[in-house]
Amino acid sequence: MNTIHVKPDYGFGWQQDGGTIDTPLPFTLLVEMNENVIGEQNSRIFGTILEKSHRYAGKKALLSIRTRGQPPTYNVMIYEKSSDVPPADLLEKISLPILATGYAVISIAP
Amino acid sequence: MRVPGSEGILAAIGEIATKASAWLSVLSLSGDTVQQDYYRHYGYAADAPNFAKGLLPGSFATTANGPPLTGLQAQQQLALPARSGLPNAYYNVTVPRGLVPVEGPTPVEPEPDYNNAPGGGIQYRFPEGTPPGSVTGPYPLPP
Repeated sequence: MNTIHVKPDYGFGWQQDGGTIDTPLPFTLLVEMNENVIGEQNSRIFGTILEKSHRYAGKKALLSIRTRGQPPTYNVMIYEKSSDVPPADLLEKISLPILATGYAVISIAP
Repeated sequence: MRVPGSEGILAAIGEIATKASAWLSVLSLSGDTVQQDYYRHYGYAADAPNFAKGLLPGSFATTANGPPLTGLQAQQQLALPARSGLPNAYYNVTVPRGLVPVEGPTPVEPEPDYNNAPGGGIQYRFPEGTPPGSVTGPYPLPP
């Protein structure tokens, strides 16, 4: 399966438990779903955080495109448990509990 | 002739002139004044310590045109998650034009997962952050 490199940005601030937290370290995401909306590549990307030492190791992350400039930026939603993952059809509204939110830029492994 | 009691005022004027001169010498390059660019960063008053040395690398900001947004306008136009409540403050960001890397402007996409935020706001990204002293605030948002 494909992986992408995710570099979290401070953006407007990462949030967890009702407050701003330090920007997480970069991580590798094992991509389980990658939607192309309106012909745009990588509009929504969903997968599992691989690094075992990462604060969100094993957690699920949804990346949703935020700006289409160069580089594109993404909103990041981290889900607490595997049972909190979004439904298979990511076009449906997701209303599941989110552990943390933030921002990132990505690069795709060749 | 000096008016009694005016020494303090004159001293203050002199101090201001000295500081102004120092600023002008910093801003002057071969007689040309360095242009400044102005932005706003929306967030929370409690985040102020994060900006003591300028915006952090990878920070976002938006245009400083027009009056400041309300918390709800900022959340909706900039598609903020607002999981800590609506933004309650903004920060002014002033950087010398051309000397600080900045990406944008780019429009913010809609984010249905953040209270159906329609986006449409303008985003700038500072990949290397901004210099110390470039951020002032926090300032409370209008109701």
